Amino acid sequence: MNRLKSGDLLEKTAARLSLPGEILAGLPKVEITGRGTLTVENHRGLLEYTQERIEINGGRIMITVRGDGMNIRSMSADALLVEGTIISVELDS
Amino acid sequence: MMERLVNLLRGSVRVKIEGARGERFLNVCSREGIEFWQLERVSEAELRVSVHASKTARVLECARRAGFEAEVLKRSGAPFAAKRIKGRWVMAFGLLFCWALVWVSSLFVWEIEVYGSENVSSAEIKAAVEKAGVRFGTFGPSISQEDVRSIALLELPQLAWLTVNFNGSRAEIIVRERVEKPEMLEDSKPADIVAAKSGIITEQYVCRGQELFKAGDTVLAGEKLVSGVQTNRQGGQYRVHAVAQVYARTWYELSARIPAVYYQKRYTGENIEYININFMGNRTNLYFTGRNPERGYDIIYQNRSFRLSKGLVLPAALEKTVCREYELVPEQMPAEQARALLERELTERLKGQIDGEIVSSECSVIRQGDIFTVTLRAECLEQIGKTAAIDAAEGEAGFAG
Repeated sequence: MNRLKSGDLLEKTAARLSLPGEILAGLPKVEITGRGTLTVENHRGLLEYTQERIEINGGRIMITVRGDGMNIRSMSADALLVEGTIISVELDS
Repeated sequence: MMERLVNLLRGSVRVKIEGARGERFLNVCSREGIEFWQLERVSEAELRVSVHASKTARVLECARRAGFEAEVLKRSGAPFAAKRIKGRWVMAFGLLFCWALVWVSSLFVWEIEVYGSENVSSAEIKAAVEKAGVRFGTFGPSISQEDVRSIALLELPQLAWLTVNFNGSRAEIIVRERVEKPEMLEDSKPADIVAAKSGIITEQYVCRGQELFKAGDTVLAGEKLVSGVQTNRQGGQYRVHAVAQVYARTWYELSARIPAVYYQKRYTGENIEYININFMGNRTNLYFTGRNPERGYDIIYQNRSFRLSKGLVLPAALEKTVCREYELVPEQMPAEQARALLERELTERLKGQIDGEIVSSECSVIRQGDIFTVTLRAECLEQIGKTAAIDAAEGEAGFAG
């Protein structure tokens, strides 16, 4: 509970101070280029990976990418690059 | 591109990972800082990834710790190639030497191609650039574009622009021909429109000047059709440059002759083949078959240059020359064939003479001894008006332009 509150506080502080949330609060940063490329920074790992569905652990947010013929082009501790036809991106707390 | 080059230099390994929930393995790799690419999900329980060669042991260790079975499928890249050629230094040196030889060879011109010429022949252009120093075997970097352009354009005034592009050992000469200045209508001098040919006028469009005939009139070649001398309302005369188009029906009769007996080539089946190798302009005969030809013969020449890519031509070519011997056999030409042959030629000749179209035509053929005479009679519809300057003595009217 405390951890959640601390995360909220950091997120609000970042918003107040106009600082990037991904740096101060460690929030995931999702970037989509067209329909073919999706980059996630500050991820915490993969939960599920198929060519139609990729679930990414974003810490406080769960990111679900649905698409067609999707592949993980590269993955490091910080960033993850998905390629393929992206249909939707869902964010769940 | 750069990424592929780095992977090639560092070496990469393709690894097969088997086990349930392959995502766990990927998470372990990312936590351990193991970079991977070309991730492929073959089945629910099988993943394939590429990793740098130096990380192979760590990947296998990570897979084992996470409860997966790992297997190296393929090793590629410079480190593995170096291991393969270890102890075969002569072969490596030979490969390097060949590569160096090809690279040095690519600095010289071994092929010259001409693009963009229509009226000036490629041979003329090649001869002109040869004077400027671009020839078979020239060292490419020593050629100055400016010098080639200046010298070649002076040699060939028909060309408006020329450039030489080097694509490996191939010199591409791109030219643009000079466009002839069109004949300008000199509008400042008084002129009439006269008939260039005899015919019956069908219609006329007079923009300026006084028309002297009407549709249906017959005119002779040289007759004045539209006068450049006009009369104003006060009865005074002034001279203008007449502008008009006069269309008329015209008739032509063209004849041509052809021998009734012609000689047909009949191949005897005797062929002579030469195979030469041309290395840096020096030709060496490799193979010769047959006897020397006694009668006439056709020469079929084939050249195959050795090239590694489009722009990388080696200074060697294989040349094959085939001489096919034939004898000439007299044949009688049928009248219909003579007629068809000459009718086509006469029609083309007529089209070049008229400024209009052929309305109707008929063709006849007469044989006189061993000669066929083919006559084409045609009715045409064409523009017959041509501009003719007014004599200074004609009239004393002022010029109105």
